[in-house]
Amino acid sequence: MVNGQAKAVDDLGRLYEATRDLLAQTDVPAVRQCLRTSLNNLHWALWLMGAEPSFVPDYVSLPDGRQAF
Amino acid sequence: MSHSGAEHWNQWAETLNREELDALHLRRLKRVLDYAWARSAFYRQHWQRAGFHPDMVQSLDDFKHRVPLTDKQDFLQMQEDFPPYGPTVAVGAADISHHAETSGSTGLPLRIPFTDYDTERYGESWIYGWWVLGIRPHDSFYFAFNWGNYAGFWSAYWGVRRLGATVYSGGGQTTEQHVRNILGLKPTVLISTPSYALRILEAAREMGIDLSASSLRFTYHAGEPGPCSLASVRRKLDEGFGAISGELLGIAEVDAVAPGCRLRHGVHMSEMSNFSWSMDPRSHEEVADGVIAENVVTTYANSAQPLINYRTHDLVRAYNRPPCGCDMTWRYLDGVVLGRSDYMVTVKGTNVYPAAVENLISDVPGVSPYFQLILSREGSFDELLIRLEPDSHISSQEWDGIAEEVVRRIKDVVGVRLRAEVAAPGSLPRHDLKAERIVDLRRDEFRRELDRQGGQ
Ligand SMILES: [Zn+2]
Repeated sequence: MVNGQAKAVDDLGRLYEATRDLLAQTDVPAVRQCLRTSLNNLHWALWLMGAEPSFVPDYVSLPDGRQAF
Repeated sequence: MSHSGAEHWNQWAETLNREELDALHLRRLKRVLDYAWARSAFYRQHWQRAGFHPDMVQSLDDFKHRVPLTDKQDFLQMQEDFPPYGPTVAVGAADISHHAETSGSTGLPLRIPFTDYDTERYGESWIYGWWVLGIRPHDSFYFAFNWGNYAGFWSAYWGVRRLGATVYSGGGQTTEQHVRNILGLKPTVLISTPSYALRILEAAREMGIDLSASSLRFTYHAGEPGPCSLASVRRKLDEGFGAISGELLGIAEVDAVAPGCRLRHGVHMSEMSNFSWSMDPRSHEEVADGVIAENVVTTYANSAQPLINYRTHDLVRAYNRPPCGCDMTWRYLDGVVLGRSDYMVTVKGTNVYPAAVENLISDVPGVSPYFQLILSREGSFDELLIRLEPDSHISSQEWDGIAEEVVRRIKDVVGVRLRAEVAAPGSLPRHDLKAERIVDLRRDEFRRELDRQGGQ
């Protein structure tokens, strides 16, 4: 890993988790959409630095339409 | 703070060594397998029927050999039985944000759903190729493209958005209007198929306009063999536009799988968004670096309809340790796609893909684009005769030398010595489509048998 990358991955991982928690508590559709986009970007940033919390962000619904949160 | 002077879009990822890349892939492939098992009724059933479970994968070898292969036909059938997507999807309808389709040139079009996040990841693949060529966020892209359901250039659009550059849509315009738009809007990058870029050059010439003096500094292409596949196409595009041309290999349902190499003799697989390996289409064994075989891909960029160990039927000469000479470490496809595994013949005991031979002939200087490959059957072997025409400015004393050069190049690359005949300039039939160059004189039963051996 390049200089500072391990720390960046740690920091991003914390941001990712905090954003996911916020999304789980938010009911306003407009704000939920902002947080989903943020989660995508944080997830992808982690992926591009060699880390990934999962294959897709946790909010993604199941085929029967059930939401994770 | 500006990073646009960096040589790579993502230096760390693009220069990982093979062992590091393989370790990343193994971890990510396991995640994809678990995801598909939990969410896709199709995969669960497909795997259960074959006695496979994701826990059986502990190495990349396990992945290649134990995970059942998938093919476009599997998906087409389910989409037809349960429209629009059938049980292949892994997400709820609310998370599908874009729909695309394959061209359907070989049958029914395949329907392709993407989530919002998929489109971001898919678009990203383009940027690696743009960046190494010198394209930056301050550039502006003109799309000579009608915005239908074709995933290819939609994904380029997603890529430009991610890069942070400017988009000019050329949707719904005539070829002449494209020429005028290029002069008026002053874009620095043209996006189109290679053949349509050549058509734009032709139209500009008819209008008395020299596009080599325009604002364009780069042209970038997909959809057909382009400047990283064929030297003749590269020369024509570079000279005509006075720009640097590039090529990306995309597979609509999978990913913008392989952005171009800086040195432009092939493309690199985008290893952040897919995993691929080369499989002998008959034995299903993995082949060594440099051996022509079928590219089998697993995408990380489509979570709506996962494609796992998916047969592309594209024949490639791939290197997991690239010999191209640039510093990108991602798997390299020399000459991009050399043919299709569903169309193969056996000449003197060697598997020959007529499309690969076509590409080699196209690259020999002095050979006109009008040539024929005559397939026949002698005893128990296929025979392949090349009938070619020299360019009209070549003197007849040079004809034999050109034919010898064609035979030599094919022997070097394909490993078999074919016969070549020279026909007088202007004497061979003129067609627009490449496929019509192949004349198959074999009896039907041999064709069927051999086509099946190609791995349907
Ligand atoms: Zn390269």
